[in-house]
Amino acid sequence: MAIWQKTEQLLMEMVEHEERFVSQEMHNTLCQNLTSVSLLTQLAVKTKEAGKNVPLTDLKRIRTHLDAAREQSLVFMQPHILSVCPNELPQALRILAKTVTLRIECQFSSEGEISIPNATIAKFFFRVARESVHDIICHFQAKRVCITLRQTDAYLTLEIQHNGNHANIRNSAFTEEGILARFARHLGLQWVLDPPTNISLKIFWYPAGQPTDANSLQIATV
Amino acid sequence: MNGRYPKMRPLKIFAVENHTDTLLALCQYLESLGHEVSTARSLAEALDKISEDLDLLISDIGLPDGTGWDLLQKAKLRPNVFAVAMSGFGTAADIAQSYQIGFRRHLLKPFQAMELDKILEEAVWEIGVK
Repeated sequence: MAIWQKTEQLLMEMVEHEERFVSQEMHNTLCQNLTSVSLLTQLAVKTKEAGKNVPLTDLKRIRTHLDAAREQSLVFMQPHILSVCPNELPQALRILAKTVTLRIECQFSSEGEISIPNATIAKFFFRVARESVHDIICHFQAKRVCITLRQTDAYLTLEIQHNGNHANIRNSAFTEEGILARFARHLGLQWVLDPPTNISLKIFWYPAGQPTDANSLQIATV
Repeated sequence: MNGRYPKMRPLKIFAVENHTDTLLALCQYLESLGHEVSTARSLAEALDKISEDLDLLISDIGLPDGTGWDLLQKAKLRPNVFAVAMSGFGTAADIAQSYQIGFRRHLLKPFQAMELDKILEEAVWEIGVK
């Protein structure tokens, strides 16, 4: 198979993977909250129409679901924003972390002057972070996640730490043969997966085409 | 009510949904209309709790241990039980699958409360006719 055909096949697979992931996430988050909002709002209207007061707790629940839907919508918008503003990656990760707090405890922090090389890298880092966090919640049953984006003179590090177990790693995004790892290699990144007993996913980016410690980007989940 | 359907009588409804907040909202809404609602959050729980004198089943398609399609196939319901599928997926294949298995409606999330109202009216009509 020619190189361009392999590339085309990989791109198609990545797009389909992304669409499946996003549609599943939309169903699990945004669709559920919007359904609840519609039901509770209609209930409030019917209560008022019957000449009764709407309980404050019901109004607060509507607000909670609307706030959650708003946060979740913002997460779905981030890849598009990163397409034109790659340096917004810290903000995108902050929004992701805020949404995660709807399900488990999550903190985001950034250190140093963050400089993202291009939109492709920014979007890919965000995708990996989003899917990692999803798997950490769904497959690793973690209760706490810390996302850190760190810039030093030599490299940029995205570190995602969690307190879950790694029994189901083979069902997750953290596999060498998975589409994310293969797409990382296609982008010129190096994907390193540590043994499941102490999981650590690292992605290195070599902007000059040759791997050196001085110009690597690193994503790590520990 | 638009006059087309008979006055709604309370229905015995079984709601199956694994998303807790959605199930709570759905349950609260149906009960506010005067219906008697029982619930389950998984296929196993649903098969364990489903009763014979049910009027309407409303089930999510994606359940943690199976599907709403599995539920309708395994639960031996009376023919006049009005079954409604709920799903975030509404491709032609999804909808066809729901109808083929016996669901009367395929409700696409996020749905509006008024869509549910209309389905409840249709259920009352059909149950009343049969």
